[in-house]
Amino acid sequence: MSDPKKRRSGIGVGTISILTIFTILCLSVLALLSVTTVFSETKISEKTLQNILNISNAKTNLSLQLAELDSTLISIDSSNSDSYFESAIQQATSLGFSPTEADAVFTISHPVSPSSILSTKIELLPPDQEYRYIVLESVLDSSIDWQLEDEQSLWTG
Amino acid sequence: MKSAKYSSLPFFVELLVNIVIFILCTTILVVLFTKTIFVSKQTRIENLAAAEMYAVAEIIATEGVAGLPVIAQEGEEVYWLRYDENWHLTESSPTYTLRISLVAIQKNAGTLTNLFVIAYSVASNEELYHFNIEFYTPYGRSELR
Repeated sequence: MSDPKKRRSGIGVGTISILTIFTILCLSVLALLSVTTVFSETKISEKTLQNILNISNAKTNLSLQLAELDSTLISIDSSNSDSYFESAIQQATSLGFSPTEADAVFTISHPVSPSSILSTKIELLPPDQEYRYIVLESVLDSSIDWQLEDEQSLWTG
Repeated sequence: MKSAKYSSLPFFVELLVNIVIFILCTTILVVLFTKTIFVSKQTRIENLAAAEMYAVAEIIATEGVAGLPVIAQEGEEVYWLRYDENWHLTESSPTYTLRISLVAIQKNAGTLTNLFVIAYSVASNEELYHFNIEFYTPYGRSELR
């Protein structure tokens, strides 16, 4: 007969299995977290790279339109300042530049993503200036019209 | 004596089975971990390459090629920038390189420059990322006369 005290003191059958299952479970959870992190990193990276390409395309389109505008402006007779401006404004409008409230200031937008645009503001310069136009600003802007909602009940603490 | 020998047998069988299962699972998990580390590293490199390329394109668009600090020229319109493993400009043994190709198209009142940038990994001799941008530089009226 074996001594029951002796049998109880060792590692019982099943203990190692439980420990192995626990270790594998822990490692699997870590692996899952790691895969999830890398997946989100890759997704963000893809979006960033796509955004850079979209911005480059928008800037290229802007450059092409500016080249076309400049080419048109140089062909306008600049001997009379008033008639020059009238023609220049007409040409800029026909090329897709939108007039603003300010005199001789135009804006043009190029889509970058469904929610953003490259918004550029240019000013047409008088014929006595060295250049025909000047780019006042070229910024990434939101294309979504944000609506302010003040009816939502928020947690105030 | 005989009874003690038989009582330890299930324990050793269980131990052996667990060792085999553990080895199998850890092999799969190690492969998975290695893959995620590789993908993460690749993503980081691509991001840094794209950011550097965009910065270089902006410098060239505003200041021209003269605005770039270290340059190796190949022909008239192709320039190379060399970077170390942390994407810092270096002059010796680069890890990454940027190939900048500039093509100027003369327009009526200015120059339309086509800038094509490609990032390469020197070790793997692979292209990491590339992009194309065009920018317009108008001539002054005095230049046109």
